[in-house]
Amino acid sequence: MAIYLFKRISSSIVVLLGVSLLLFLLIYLAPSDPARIIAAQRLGGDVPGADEIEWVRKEYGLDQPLLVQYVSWLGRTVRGDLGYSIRTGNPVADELRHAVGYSLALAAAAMGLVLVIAIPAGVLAGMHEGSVWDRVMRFVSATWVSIPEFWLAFLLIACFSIQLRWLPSYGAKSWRHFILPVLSLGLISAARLAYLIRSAVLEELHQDYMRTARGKSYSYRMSVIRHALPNIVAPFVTMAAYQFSGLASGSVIIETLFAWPGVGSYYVDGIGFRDIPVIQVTALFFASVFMLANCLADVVIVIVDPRVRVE
Amino acid sequence: MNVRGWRRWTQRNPISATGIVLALGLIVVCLLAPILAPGDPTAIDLTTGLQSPSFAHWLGTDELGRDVLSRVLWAGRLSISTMAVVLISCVAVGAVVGVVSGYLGGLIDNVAMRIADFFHAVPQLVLALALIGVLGPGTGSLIAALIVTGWVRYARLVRSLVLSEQNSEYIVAVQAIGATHTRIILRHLLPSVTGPMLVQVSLDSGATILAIAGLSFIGLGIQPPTPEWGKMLVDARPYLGSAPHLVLPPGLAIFVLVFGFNSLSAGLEHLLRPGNNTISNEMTKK
Repeated sequence: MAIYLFKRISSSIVVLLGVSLLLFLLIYLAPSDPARIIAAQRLGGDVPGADEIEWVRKEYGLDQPLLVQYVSWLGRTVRGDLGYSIRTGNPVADELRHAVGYSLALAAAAMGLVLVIAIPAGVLAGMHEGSVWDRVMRFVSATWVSIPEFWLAFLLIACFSIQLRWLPSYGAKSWRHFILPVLSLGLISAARLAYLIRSAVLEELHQDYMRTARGKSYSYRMSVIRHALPNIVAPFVTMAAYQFSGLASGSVIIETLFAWPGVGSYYVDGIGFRDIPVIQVTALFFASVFMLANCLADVVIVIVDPRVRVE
Repeated sequence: MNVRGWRRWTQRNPISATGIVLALGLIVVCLLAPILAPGDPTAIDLTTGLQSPSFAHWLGTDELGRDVLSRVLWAGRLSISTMAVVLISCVAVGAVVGVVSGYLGGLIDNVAMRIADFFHAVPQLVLALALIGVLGPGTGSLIAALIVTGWVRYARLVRSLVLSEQNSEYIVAVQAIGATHTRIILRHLLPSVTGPMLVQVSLDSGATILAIAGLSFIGLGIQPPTPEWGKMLVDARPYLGSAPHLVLPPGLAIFVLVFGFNSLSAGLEHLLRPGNNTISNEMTKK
């Protein structure tokens, strides 16, 4: 098991290094000289002169060979020195740390909502295949996954903020500010996860061990709870981790829409201003969260499912 | 094509079948926007701003007096053609990389799949946004970003299908009669992967429509004054409570298209399942 974990973690680190190289090389895709962009932004819109561009090139190390630049950038990033935002001039590390708290709170609340809805809905639908409840659930999840989350957010705002005046439509000051972003983010993910859980349950119900359990005169409900559900824990953890990553990218749009001061809206602000240090670091942050969620899921699976250990 | 199987599936899933027909209708109507649109989608007339639906303007007008129906149709035409360009390019790049990688194996396969891993490690929207951030927002950047981040799925899918087909008897047989690599790839391997590819393409069609609308919604996709569904929604925000005719049509249009494509992919997958279930294996692995 230790060897498996070691392999899993080291391969994630290799992939993360690859992603960092990808993001580092991104600046060189820019249609113009990065030194010119940085110089222009430092001057606040004025056209930079040749010496200013040269100064920026030296100051930011842009005259060094690519590999040297990458290694020094990576070294600084790993040590927590994430550079300075071109737009605000503040350290990116501080701004990001401030935003992460807001995003984590939002993601945790949304994930909670997803699990509370999806687990019972999916398990019940799978247990009673073809019943009215199953058909309603399938219809709802098939339609909900096709709704754009920003449109759902607008409909919720129109209903609860504008017509009923119950909830605020932007900002992050109190618990009431959480409700609409969490619903917009969570309801669609919940529909998707519920459908996947239903399929996983159905697959287990057709296994031989279920017939044996029924043969031992276990009731249907007991045999599902005691035998089928433990077996879907492993696929469920993978699916839930995947949904969590989905929430991370969904949060980019939803945070912008609700003016939520999290990582997603920080990212979009950085992109609007072509704030390259912010873009690189934030994208790397998203990639790390994504990797971490998948890694944790794999660790949990090794713990709950002995079959994986044998492989 | 298995016509009887398809008919049985549509009878058993009437809602999905309706969704496919509606989406098809919407696509046709949108592509015919130059003929069908009643007005100019960008013509501003402040004297007729924010009108409710009427006979002159079936879906009313927006805050600048532009005809909403015309805007919805033209926006659809643009979204659908953008999506087509993105997906055709993704499939082409992915198929080439996947076939070469799976068929030749060895170092090329290793390098290609490690690169694919790097792209796969970042959520698509996040990576696409990073690219747009560097290239600057616009239709060209949007298309480039979606292609650069989208080919990976196809490369992986095609590679896994090629690997599973490669040792089957019919491939060994054509190798034995001395067919060239190119002939084996073009005549035998590629045709065998089209089914699962179609399922993935129709699933991604919906996802791409959502991505285009979402990126334009946050101002980083298609730029004004070109009409676009996501952009139309943002512009409608100040009138959320007072002008539902600005909020409902673009959102409904996105929903109908995405639902249609999702249903189509479910139907295609159902048809493919008895003989060949590689696609469902690939999808659960993700």
